[in-house]
Amino acid sequence: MPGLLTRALALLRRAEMIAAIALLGIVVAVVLAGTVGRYSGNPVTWSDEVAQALFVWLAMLAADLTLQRAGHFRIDVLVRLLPPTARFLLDLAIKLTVAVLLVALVYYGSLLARLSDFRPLPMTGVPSSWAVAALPVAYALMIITTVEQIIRHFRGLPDSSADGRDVM
Amino acid sequence: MLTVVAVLFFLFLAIGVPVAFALGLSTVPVFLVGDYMPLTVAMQRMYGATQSFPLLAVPFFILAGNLMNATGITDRLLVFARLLTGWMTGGLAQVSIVLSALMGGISGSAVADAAMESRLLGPAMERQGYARGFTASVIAFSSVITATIPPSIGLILFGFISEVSIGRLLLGGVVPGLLMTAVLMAVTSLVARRMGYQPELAEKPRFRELATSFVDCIWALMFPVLLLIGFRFGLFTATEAGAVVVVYALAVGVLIYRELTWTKLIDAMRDSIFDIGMVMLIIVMAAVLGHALTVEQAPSAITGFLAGLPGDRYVTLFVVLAIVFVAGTVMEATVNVLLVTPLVLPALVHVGFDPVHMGVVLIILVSVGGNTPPVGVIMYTVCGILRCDFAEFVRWSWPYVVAMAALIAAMALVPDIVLFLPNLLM
Repeated sequence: MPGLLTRALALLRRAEMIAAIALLGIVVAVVLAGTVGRYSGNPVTWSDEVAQALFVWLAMLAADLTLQRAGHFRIDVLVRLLPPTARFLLDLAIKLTVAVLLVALVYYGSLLARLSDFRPLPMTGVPSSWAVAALPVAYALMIITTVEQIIRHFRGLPDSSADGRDVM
Repeated sequence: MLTVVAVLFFLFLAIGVPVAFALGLSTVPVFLVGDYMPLTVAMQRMYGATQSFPLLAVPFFILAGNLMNATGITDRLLVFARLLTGWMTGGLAQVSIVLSALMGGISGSAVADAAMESRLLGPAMERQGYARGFTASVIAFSSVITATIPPSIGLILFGFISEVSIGRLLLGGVVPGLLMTAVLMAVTSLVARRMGYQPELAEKPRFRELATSFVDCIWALMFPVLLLIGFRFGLFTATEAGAVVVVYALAVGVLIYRELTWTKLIDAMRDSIFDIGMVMLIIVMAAVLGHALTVEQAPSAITGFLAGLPGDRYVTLFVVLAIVFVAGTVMEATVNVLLVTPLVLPALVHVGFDPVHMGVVLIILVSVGGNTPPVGVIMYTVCGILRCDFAEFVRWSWPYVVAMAALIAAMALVPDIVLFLPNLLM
């Protein structure tokens, strides 16, 4: 991959991470504002709505960031029994299939976003397409991630994999 | 149609497709053949899954747990745990169990607890001459206590998915968590005595020492109490509690212990982002499959089958626990909570079990699944850090497996162990 593209990619990832961290902080602050407002007699009517609209962005960006480090749960006990060539081909097939699914999700996600352009959120009046757009945007980012992983795959580089973790 | 979906789903899982994408891919036939779900409706379902205010409690509690770990509270709790139990037979092993119980009050994650304790206590236990398999087993099984004592990410997720009161669930986890601590300590004492493992401290601590250490930890120890008070008096919803808890962790880290730096804060947030991404992509994809299942009336078919098993309701209970246990051995606890528990809970409720009671039992069961091969994330984590062979882990873990099985059976058969506290307080 030419150097410029690599650098653009690194920049994009950094921006995604910064955006996700900022969103996490803002969502906490917004919910807190709602709670404090309720107790201080100045109800913040928009807090639930704004928190949820921002949360879909947080959740979907986080999903792509997790994909970048191959951090989504999978069962690989059986796959490990396969010989290397079979594993290579199977892994490739899976990534290509996922990429095709993502392309469909981007297309229909944008369609839904366009449809919800006419539906404003009740409190703030912001078109709900602003929130819905998180889906196609994040799925598009996941396509980039998957394509990069496919290229790495062909070069024989391992996925930058996460150490075993579970939320619970 | 559903058979095709189910076959595809398990096929994708088996060949190593990430669970979230396996969910999405296996519903494709429904779009191609079924006329009730154009793809825009699927997108609508995905979006809808994120638009839930109660769901926000999950990222908040994940963040609070990661923050608490960065505040410097862990070291203080270790000092306290060491004073409390270091003088007992198998001292360090007992310390690890009590530390899990103390950590349980600030963190809701078994894997995080197991990783932390392996790094913190593993080397010391090795120096004391403990067998590696024993060290790994104690740390792995005691981390289930952390996942049970409130706040518990598993119970919060379960409450959200199955629409059960999160406040009652968290209260329901208190007694089982303490009971588990006592049982694991008893088993450890037996094993340690047999192996001749010595206490860590020569004598019992002085009262003053213990009191000083207790005061040092008070902010962590108060935490679950404040949380439960908040729920009990309806001061806030689970989501609001989550946001308050994040601020509490920040305040303790910055103002009281003064160990929470900017770098540590960003790291804690970054770790939380990865956890959130993992959980949310499954929730989003599962919403599509969930819609298809509902239209095809699969949930009521499953409920009908499980509830209609011959014999009394304990047959249903036993079959469900067996299914969940098997699922627990092959899948991560979080995946089981998100995918398996919502399918089996209605049957249990239908035959007369309380959802809070069943929730606590199921969460403990899937958490224990993290300690069993072939897929056990807690086992992987602990064995990875301690460089312990899986076979050795399994050989040393059987006393704990037996103890946990007995405890889970007791909790399943005697609802009051779980329900006593929620019924008393809420």
